[in-house]
Amino acid sequence: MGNSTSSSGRGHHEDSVDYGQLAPQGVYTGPRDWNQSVVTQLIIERKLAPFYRPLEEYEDSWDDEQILAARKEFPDHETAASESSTRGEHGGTVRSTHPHRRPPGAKEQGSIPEAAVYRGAVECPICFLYYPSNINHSRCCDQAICTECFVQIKRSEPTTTHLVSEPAACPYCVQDNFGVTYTPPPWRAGIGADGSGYASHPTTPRTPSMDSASLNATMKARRRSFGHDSKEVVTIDQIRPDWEAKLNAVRAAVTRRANRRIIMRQVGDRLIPVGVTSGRVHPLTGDGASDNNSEGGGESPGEGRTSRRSRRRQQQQQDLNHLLGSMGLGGQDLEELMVMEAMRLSLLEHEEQQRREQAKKNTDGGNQQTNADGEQSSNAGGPSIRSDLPSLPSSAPINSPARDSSSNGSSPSSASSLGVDIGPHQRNRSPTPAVPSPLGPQSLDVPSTLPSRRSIDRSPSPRPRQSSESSRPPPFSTLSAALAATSTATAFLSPSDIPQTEGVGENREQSTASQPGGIPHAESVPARLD
Amino acid sequence: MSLPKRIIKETERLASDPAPGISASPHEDNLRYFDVTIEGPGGSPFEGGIFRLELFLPEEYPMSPPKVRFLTKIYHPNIDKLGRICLDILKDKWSPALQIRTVLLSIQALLSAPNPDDPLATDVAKHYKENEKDAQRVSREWTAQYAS
Repeated sequence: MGNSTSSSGRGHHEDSVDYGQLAPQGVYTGPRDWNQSVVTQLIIERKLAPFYRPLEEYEDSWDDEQILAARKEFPDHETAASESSTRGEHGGTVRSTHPHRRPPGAKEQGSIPEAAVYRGAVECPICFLYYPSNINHSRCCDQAICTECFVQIKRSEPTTTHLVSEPAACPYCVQDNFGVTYTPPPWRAGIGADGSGYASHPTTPRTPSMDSASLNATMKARRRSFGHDSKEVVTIDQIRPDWEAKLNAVRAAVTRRANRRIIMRQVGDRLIPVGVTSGRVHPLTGDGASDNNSEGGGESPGEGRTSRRSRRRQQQQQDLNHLLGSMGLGGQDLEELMVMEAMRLSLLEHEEQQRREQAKKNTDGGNQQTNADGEQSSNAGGPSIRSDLPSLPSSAPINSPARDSSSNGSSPSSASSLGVDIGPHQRNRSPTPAVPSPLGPQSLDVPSTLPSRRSIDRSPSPRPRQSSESSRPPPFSTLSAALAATSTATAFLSPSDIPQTEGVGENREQSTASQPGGIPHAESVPARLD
Repeated sequence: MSLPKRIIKETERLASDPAPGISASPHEDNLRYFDVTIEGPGGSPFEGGIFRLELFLPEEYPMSPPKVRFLTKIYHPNIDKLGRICLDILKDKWSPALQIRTVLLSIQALLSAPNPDDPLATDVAKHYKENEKDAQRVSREWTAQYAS
């Protein structure tokens, strides 16, 4: 911390601990993704070394002025502006900066405390900068590490291909569960000092150099290592308490992706992709049960993976979107949108071709064909779905000839076949709201599904519900109608409460889904690392 | 963006106290980009060769590993056609306590001790596993042809 003048931007002296700061000094410029308030607290409690301004070099023979001059300035620091004036002088002779760098009330004679703390400075083996000898040490192998470097060490980030977040190993001896211990100097200054402030520390200015020497001795004397769970140890998980939530969020995102299906519509003897399900888990608890697969909530022993995933999902549903959003995984998946765009183009081409065929045929038959492939997409046509289907045709007559002519070149015999995820027939799905079909209202009532669908609808095209009757922009309405249909599918399956026969990971249990799953609390997530 | 002190110091130490058989010097216009040479270790099929590599220190270094690649063609089960190296410390086993010097020493050691069980170049690894003598012969040929 040194002089309160130059470090004022980094905190006034009352915000310092033993002449070090509570916030990083800028050795690293990446995101500060640790929990700074936890770190602050640990520094105040003297369980972690404060963020001392490092020296670029250090020689034992240096006097105080040289030490202070060697303290590194970080131009990129957020408070750079406030320090620029000091730095200007800093570049000059040490003498000239001296008066500015002294804390008010500090003595002109004798050792300067904020220089004295650097006596016997040690080089951090990771950033190669010098710090006061009261530095953190690895719990396992007793190697020095500055706080600046310590807060950079973290679990491996889970990726979509590597869905675990391994505990960070000690950078020196590679032992798992990296943690450090810290032995504070025998004196105190700044926060936590008696009375606080410099004035009340008449003795500190002279003592540090002596103390750091004795401190060195104690450091050297210490040879035992600590368990990662011993109370003296600060682990990297402690300063990033959200690691598990992050891991779970990535897993959920991957699960969602894995659940994504391409919705196929059968036309004649061909299957055409008409859309893609998002596979997103909706936070609604009410329809959770309907998504359960036949694995009975995934609790069977053989389904370890599944059950873990499903339980995790239950816990996360409520906060997932919010959390994913914060991680940049939220909202519409880019990948999802790209798949849809690809599909749209493919569809465009297909319909173009169909239009040509249709023009050739030019029969009325096509107009009659309506609901044949109105199969729901979210499930592979299980009997339970089928039983609900008869209601769908009711929307069929509404279909305007114009709309049908383009997409329904196929004959009624093109009805969906079993075992394929057949896309809902977008043409008859789009007018659903206009038709008193029993399904229509329900689909609209699902609050969780609609927002996301709407946003999908919005991006690529005009919304089908409005556009389909009047104009017919085939590919667009087709796609979005298909997407809308997926949500309809969810909705319309929901009330049925019938366990479906697919969708690993789609399973949710109603009971647990309604638990308040506080994502930020890692404890609430039962999932453990593999 | 100024260069972190660590990189400056590493560069200085590499210059003042180079590891035997290894050289690394930064580009003038990009001090994070190093031209590297590694001598093939004695007793290995790569003996006598001088292999050129490139090494780049990403922004996150030393919290992320350096990116290293062989520029010289080499017949080695853990180094592929593009010169990419299969070495754990360049990936998940990276530690910020490692340095350019230790990385290059590790690569040199990899030349002495190919590990065909964890291959990157599967065909080479297969060759090494099925007929090590013959594979080493090819390695020597390549060394003579490309690394001299």
